[in-house]
Amino acid sequence: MKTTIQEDANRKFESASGIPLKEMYKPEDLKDFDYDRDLGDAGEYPYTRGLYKGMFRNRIWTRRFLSGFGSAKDSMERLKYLASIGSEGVEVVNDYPTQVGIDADHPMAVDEAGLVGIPVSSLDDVETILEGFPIDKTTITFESSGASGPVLPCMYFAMAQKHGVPYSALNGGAALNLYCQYYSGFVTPQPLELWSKLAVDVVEYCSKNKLRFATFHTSAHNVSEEGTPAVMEIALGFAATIAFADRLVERGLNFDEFANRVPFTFTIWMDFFEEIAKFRASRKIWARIARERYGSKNPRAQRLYIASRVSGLTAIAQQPLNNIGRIAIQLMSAALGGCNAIDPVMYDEPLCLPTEVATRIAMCTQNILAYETGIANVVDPLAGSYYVEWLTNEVEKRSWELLQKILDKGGLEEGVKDGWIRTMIDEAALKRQKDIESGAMKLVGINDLVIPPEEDHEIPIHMVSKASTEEQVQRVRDIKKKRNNNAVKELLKKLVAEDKQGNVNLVPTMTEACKEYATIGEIWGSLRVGRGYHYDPFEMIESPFKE
Amino acid sequence: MKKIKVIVSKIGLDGHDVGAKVVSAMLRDAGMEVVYLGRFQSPESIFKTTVEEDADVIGISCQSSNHTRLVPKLIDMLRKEGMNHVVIVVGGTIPDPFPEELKALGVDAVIGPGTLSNVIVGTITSLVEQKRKAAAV
Repeated sequence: MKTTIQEDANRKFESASGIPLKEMYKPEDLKDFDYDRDLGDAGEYPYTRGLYKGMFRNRIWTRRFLSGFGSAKDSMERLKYLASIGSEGVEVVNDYPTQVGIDADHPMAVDEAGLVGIPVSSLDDVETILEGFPIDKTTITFESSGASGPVLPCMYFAMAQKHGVPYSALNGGAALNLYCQYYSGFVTPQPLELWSKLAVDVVEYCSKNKLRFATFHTSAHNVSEEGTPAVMEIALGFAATIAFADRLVERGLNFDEFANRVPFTFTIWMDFFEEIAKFRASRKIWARIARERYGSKNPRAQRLYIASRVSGLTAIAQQPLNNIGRIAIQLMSAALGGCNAIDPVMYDEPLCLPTEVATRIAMCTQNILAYETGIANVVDPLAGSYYVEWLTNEVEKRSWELLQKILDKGGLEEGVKDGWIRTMIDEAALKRQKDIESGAMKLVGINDLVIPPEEDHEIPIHMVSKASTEEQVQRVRDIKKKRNNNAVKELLKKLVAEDKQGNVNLVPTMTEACKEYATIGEIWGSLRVGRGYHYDPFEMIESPFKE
Repeated sequence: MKKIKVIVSKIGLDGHDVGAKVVSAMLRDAGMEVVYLGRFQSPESIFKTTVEEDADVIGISCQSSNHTRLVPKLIDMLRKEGMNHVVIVVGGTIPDPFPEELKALGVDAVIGPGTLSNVIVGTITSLVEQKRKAAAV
């Protein structure tokens, strides 16, 4: 066994974002520090110390899991298992076909339905997945912001209407902001303009109907998992939030109404103190953006509700049981940073979809942290540390600078066209790999304490069976035969006509179409054709509703 | 030795391309010619480019366990056309027992997460040398 006990002369003292670190921090590092301006009590502007008075003394952070795989039925069973071990609420993350906006029976999807997420082609799938989860009593978050982003809420509204559940009883949300998605592994090949129209429609619909369904939700996690450390993650996350908010304001919506809840998903990286600084600084940055850029008067719109998720990149395939320790440390930084909801990753995820055992271990880790360590007894316990406050200020300063640079260059939407943001992200990912190769970044199992593969722990591997994928493909084929195809055809025609009018909110008709089991592929396909695109983003199939 | 030409591609709908891009950069640094196909490639499109580019190596990056479904289709196409000279390397999240299964189907090497670039470059170089030698006989 190789060990590297002796310290490397080339060791660099800097944070993951490249912030140089001194040996020790002292009062002079906080010369301009002002408690009320920089921190304030928890529950008070600028919310650096946390969104609510008392924080975890009153309520431990929300503990939950992203989950779903296989057929709709398999997904439902896993969601039930998660609920049985204490996961709070349902988080729906979709498989690739759904996120791309094609049905499970599409030639590009028949091998991939349900491989890494919940497959949803029609309302039939949503009804199956949520069997046993009464929608008026369950917090449901639709986490996927690709093509499925605007369509799944319509399926959910359709379900509420069918079950006679009033909108006022619905609770949850959808991560609708696609701007981050453009820089993620879940990129959708659908046109940005069409997506934007649908997403803005969903927010407008929820805002006008006073739904408690949070739609102003950005997932910086998606872009961060490309390998961007804290400062870049904050800047890109807020650039995406601003891009989305600007679209909504442009539509004439009131910021304080649509931003009545502001969920924001961050990744939890391994740099313990930089992560704590990131969460604290972000609340402060958002509060200022809300007040200064959007003139917010509603404190709820100024509160960044952070749902953080342990990075999948930091879990390591070699000696996978070590990930249990890594995850515990990451969860701890999120708790110390005052995150409102925290999702773990499971120790086996660099190798496969999580097994039930791995999931249970992660849930137990959360509760060990919440109840055994005493970490939840005192609000923002690291406040006042010379180092933590200095680093929080430094992360904040650097994030503002990068955010300003993005905005000066025309914002995130221009960045999509121009390509410079993509290059910046790719360079960060490459730098990370080069640091691993050179040993500047030490990773146990990869370049430190390495063991031969044959000595490694063997862990159970969870794979989606071919039968589950086939079952899912068949479900979609069956529903397309069973439903009232004339009604679907007429509603899709109506939807396209409304889109052409330009100023009609499409959610009511999309919801009607979903009620008749129109599929995600058909909804996107019909709208695409209406706007002059090929029915199918891959140009492999034609519209089944041609005259 | 003639410059090694590698097609690097994702396969299917999985868009997680960080690994594929990082590996491409590393192979270029090592003096190889890389044709990067990126996201949303089908077995057909990868096969077509391999023929057009007369590539020595196909490198497929998988994150979503679609290696079990789509890589065999690509191998079938190559076998049907008698393209046994092309080295096939699959990298990414590929747990046991799949590396052995893929090798039995005709994949030349499976490279797991966390593998350092000198190992990747060494593996590809020696596989290409072997195939070139075999072709010359």
